[in-house]
Amino acid sequence: MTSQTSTVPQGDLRTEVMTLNMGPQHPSTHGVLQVVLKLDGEVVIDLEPEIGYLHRGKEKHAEHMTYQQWFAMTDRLDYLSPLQNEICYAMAVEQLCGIEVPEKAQATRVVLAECMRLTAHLIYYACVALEIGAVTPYFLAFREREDLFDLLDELTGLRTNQEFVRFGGVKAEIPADLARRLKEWADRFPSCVDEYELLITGNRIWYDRARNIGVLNTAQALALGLTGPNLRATGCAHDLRKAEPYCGYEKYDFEIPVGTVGDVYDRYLVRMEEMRQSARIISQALAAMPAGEHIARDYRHVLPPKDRVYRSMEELIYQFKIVTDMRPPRGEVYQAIEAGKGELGMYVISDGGPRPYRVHVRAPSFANMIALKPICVGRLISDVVPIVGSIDFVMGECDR
Amino acid sequence: MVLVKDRKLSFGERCYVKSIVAGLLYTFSNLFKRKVTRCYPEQKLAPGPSFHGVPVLVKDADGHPKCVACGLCEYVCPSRAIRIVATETERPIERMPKTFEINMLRCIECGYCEEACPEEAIVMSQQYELVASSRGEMRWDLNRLLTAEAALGPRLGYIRKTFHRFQADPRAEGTARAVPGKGGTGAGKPGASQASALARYRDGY
Amino acid sequence: MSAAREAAVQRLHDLAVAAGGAPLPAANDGLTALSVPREGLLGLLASLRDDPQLGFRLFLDVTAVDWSGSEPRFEVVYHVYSLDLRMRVRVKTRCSERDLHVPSIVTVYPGAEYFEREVFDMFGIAFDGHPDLRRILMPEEYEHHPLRKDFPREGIEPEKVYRLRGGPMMPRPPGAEAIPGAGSTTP
Repeated sequence: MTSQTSTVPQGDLRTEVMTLNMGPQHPSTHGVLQVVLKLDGEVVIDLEPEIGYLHRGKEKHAEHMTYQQWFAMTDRLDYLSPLQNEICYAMAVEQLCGIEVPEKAQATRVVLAECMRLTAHLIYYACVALEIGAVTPYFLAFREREDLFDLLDELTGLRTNQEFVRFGGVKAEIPADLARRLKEWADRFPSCVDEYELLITGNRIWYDRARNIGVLNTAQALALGLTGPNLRATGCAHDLRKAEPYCGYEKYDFEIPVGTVGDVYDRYLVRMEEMRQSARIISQALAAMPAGEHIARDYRHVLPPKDRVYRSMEELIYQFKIVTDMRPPRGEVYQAIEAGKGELGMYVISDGGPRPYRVHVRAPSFANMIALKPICVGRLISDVVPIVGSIDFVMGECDR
Repeated sequence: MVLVKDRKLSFGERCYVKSIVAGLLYTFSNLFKRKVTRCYPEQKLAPGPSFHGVPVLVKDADGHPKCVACGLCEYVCPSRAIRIVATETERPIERMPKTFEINMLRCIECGYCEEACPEEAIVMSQQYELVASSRGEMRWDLNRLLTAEAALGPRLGYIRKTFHRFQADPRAEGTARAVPGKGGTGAGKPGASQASALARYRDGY
Repeated sequence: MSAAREAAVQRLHDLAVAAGGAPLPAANDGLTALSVPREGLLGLLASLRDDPQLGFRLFLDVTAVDWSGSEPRFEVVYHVYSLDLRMRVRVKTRCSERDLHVPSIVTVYPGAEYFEREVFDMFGIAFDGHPDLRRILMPEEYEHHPLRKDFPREGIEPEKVYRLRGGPMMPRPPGAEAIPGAGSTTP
């Protein structure tokens, strides 16, 4: 709490506008977001998100790293769904180079992307409930998230920031045993969502604090550039997985949940249903995993098989060439995927050299941040916390 | 295709009663379910072969590093954790690292070094507990990095399974047999004849 | 659908020409790309949004590219999306280093506000008519524009901020001398 700025006379009594700093260490701000609130009593009259605390210059780094190396940076954008960032970046560069991705790699990517959507939404569920004072959901969500991470750990070798996607496919195929256990987990998961909903959805405290709070209509959401669950909560059924299917999403049977009002409660309902649908997709993709290679046979952009590298000069040269000097042709690509938080876009420009000329990340968290001011102004300060939670952003992606 | 989600509270829910009863019942039922937490320092994790621990160097049977100091891992490392100074050696590999240093404070354990290595010389170990009392101790030098091949067996098996992709490919058999000998000296020898290699590339391996 | 799309592409080309610009050759991603001088930008984007045949109502992205060495040096790139046509369009406008400003599109797409602030922060391109053009990611006192090609990767230590040896960065108190070279090396 800092300063008093101006006075608003009202008859004999007068109120003063108070400036309140929420964050950057406030637990409800998901990382390091500072929200500067101007309050008249309990009513928010102005609001300014101060972002940039987590700015690490990822886009600048891209201009000084090889295409392959920047994978490690994409993981650290939205660190709650690292594989989705990797997939988006890989797809952008694949389009630039003209790499055909085998069907098995695409199905594996779908499984991984949906797992990431689940972990991201689980964190959302855990945090949004915690912020209004419900502690139990936090532990429940982390229980399932840890189970999923154990499985992903077994596949990729790392719990988070997996570095598993490669140009032309993925690093390894999902072993049969692991696929079976992952499918079992995905089949079991919808019942876990029922448990989550049991605790919160019909709870009147949560209902009263979320229903008709932070309402946005579709036209506003579109103009503000909101995408993903925040847009769908307003009733607009826009989902890139259906609108422009990538990675073979058109083969899977799933539904797009939409809301009716566009408030905090609708954003919650949409995400809970999305979790069920994601589990369905994982299950379908694992059941119908195509045979074949998990990575493209493309000698210009994909590292040659190691057994050849050890024995043959040509493969050894290609190994060196691809690691140090993979050059996509001159051009530009804007590749978008439906990430957990909205449309994640990667705008990659190549000048024909071994390093990207420019990489721009259209971060959904950054775009969602713009909605904070229009929906919070005029509301009570106690509503700001559920609204901030319901918008759902990750500061690593927002600040880049 | 589109699922409209909406919900009104029932009478029981509006009276708070239903959710309180359901919540308490759920909480108590969890007393009798399996425990999901692990007591970490007492119960160690058992990492599988795919696990990325800290990267280490493989020591061959004579106690020398397999590394030929080609610098590929140094180049590919996104966090620039590796520093190599190369020197010449009388052994058949001709080059070896004079110093090889990995700064474990910078290392992000992504495994790109392992994937780029043309000699199976740097691999991810299963060690995940990194403790030191100073920054200097976190710079691992050659002696500390060298690990016997036997201790890295599961990981080496995993690498061979994952990256030796076309072992089962019948087309690979011919060339593999045409060039006898193991990989250790691969850098110095020309492989299969150029014509057959080019033909292979033309149809993408 | 494809007939509607083809008609839309034709309409986009006509609009770009009417705004004084030109259609650009398709890039690797096959997006329809238009180039427009900055004077015609606002009008073009407004008609993209309001044209009943197009309806590019979903705002996506604003960014810039520094084509260092060529003239005009900076290129501002806009991406918008049409829900009806399910297609994206890319609009580009160039501006020179000596005359570094483009019109702000906040009146057409309010969502562009923070994106334009980011471009201003990273490239120093001013947006005319922006309601609140300040830095967004870098500290407000910072003097440089990090995503320009002449900005070094390791960064430039800000002059108005100094670092006590081993301590945190903090704003320099008035009258205090900057420590030469303090904190400028990375470990």
